Amino acid sequence: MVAWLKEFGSAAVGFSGGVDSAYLACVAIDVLGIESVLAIIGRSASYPAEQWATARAVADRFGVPVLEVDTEEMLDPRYVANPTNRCYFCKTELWSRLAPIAQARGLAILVDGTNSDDLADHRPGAAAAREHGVRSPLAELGFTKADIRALSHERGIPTWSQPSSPCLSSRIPYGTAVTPDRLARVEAAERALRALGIAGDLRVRHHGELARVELAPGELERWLGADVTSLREAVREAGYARVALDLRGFRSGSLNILGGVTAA
Amino acid sequence: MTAATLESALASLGVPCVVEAEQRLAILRPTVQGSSFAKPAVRARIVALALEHGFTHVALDLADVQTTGERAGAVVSGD
Repeated sequence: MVAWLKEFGSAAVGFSGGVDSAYLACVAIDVLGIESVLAIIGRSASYPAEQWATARAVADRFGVPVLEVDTEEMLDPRYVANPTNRCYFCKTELWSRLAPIAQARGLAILVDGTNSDDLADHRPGAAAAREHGVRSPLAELGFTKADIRALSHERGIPTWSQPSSPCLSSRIPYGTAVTPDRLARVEAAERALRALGIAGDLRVRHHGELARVELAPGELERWLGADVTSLREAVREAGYARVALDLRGFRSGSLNILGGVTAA
Repeated sequence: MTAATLESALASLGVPCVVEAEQRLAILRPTVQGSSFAKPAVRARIVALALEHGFTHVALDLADVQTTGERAGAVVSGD
C-alpha cells in the first residue's frame, strides 16, 4: 500500500467514515502527508448522520483534511426510481463531483475504499467509479474486510470494529421509490434501536408501513427471548405502523436477494 | 409459493401462524402466544419451511407478540 500510494504522490479519498475509507485515509496521511491528501465526504439524505459524525471524528483524530460536498442523487429520477443498478446513478453523481475537485487541486489520483471482498458483491456503483478513473487500492492489492479491520485495530483507528454501514437507500426494496421521508424513517428507526443498546450489524428494511428489522445473531437470540415491546415501540415511534423481526437475522445484501438480484 | 401452504406446514410444526406474503417475504403472525421463536432449532425449522415454500425471507410480526423465552412455549413437533 505504501509503495502504491507513493507512486502517485498525492490523492483525493472518497471518504464516508466507514471501515475501509477510514483506513485508507489514515494510511494515505501517513504515507503522503496532510499537504498531499484530501478526504472528501459526499453528503445527501442517504448518508447517515451517525456515519458523518464518525467520519469527522476519525478525520479530527488522525489529522485528515476533509472537504464536504453535497450530492444530489435525489434529484435524479433514475436513482429515485430505485432500480437494481441504483448505486450506479448515485456513484455517478458522487464521482462526477469529486473528480473535478481532485483535478482542480492537483491531486494525482482519486481513490475509494472498495476492498477485495466487495468485488464478489452486486456493485453497480463500481462501473461509475471506473468511468471516472477512480482507483481502489484496497481491492487492487487484495485487502479483505478482515485484513482492514485487523490493520485498523493495529493503528488504533476506532472504526476497526464498526459494523458495515452502507447508504440508507440500501434499506429500500428495489422498485420502491427512494424518498427523503423513507430514508429519514429508516435512519430514525435504526438510531432508536441503537439507543436501546443493540450492537453489531443492524438494518431496518423498509416495506411500506412495515419495518423488517435484521439483527446480528446474538441480538436476535436476545430479543426473541425477551420482551420486545421496547424494540417494537422504538421503531413505531420512528414512523412505522408495523414492525417485524427477521428470523434469519442480518444478511448483507438482503434486499438484493429479495429482489432476485443475488441468490438466496 | 403460497401463504396458505406455509400456514399449514407451520401448524403441523406446532407453530400456528397467519402468514402474509409480500413478494418473497413471509410475515408470520402467531395465533397463539408463547411460540418458541427464541429457540434456534425451532427457528431453523421455520426458516427451512419458508424456503421450501419459495420464500427467501421470513419475519415475525411483533404486533402482539410475546416472545419471553421463559414463558411456556408452544410444543413443536419433534422438538
